Amino acid sequence: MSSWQTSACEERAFALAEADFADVVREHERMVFSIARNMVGDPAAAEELAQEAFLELFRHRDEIESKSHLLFWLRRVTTNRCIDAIRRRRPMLAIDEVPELSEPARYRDPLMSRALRSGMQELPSGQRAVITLRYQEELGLSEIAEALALPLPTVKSHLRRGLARLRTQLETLSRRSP
Amino acid sequence: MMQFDNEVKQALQRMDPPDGFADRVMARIASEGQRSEAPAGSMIPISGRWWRSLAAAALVTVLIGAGLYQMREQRAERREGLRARQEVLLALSIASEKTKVAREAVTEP
Repeated sequence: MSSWQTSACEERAFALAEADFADVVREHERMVFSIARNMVGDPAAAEELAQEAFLELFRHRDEIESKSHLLFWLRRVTTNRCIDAIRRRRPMLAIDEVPELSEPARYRDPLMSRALRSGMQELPSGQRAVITLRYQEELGLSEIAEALALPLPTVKSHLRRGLARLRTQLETLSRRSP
Repeated sequence: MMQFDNEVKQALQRMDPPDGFADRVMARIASEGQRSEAPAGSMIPISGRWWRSLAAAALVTVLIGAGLYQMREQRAERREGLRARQEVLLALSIASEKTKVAREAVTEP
């Protein structure tokens, strides 16, 4: 049984009606936009990709079976669209170009966060996807494997290598800064 | 290790999309819906299956036409052969008649 599959009772009760679609967008816009933003970096490109993910959801709304399936579907489609976009364009934002987040975090070191988000943009698309789903969405490794249709060892390898590269980039950056 | 994990988690935490994001998504859905609704009588959507059926029908028509043409040619050829045979037989009978007349004229006392 997949992680998004739920009881038959829930599936029977669930229907993604066209009239309620705006509510669905509002409910999940933060998640979808954040996945795109964390993966591609550029806010405008992230918005475009997030919009496309919702458009695709609208086209396939009849196939959605439950709320958990909806979440699974949105994460998978958004991540895959971002991977495609990264492979097409490979945008590399320098640390100065990474915009500050609009939302201040209480316990966050802004410089560190900025450096990490900049470092993300230098990772291969697969590593970015795994790290985003792991740390933004807090998914388990098997859930990530299922969402990205990757073998579990590949997910573990992407995570380990991605984090190692981020750590190296941070160390390099801290050595450079006075 | 834990501290680094927390730093990554905080750096990648969810964030709000730009204002009006949902409205822009709904506007795109609406405009896409208008584009996909074809006006009445403008174009009939033709599927791949339709094209395959049309190609098969055209092929059958061509094959039947070729068969009929070949049959007609063979029939005309046979008719021509019969006519030539009759002409040869007629010519032979005329020649035989003339030979007979000549022989009678020679043998008459």
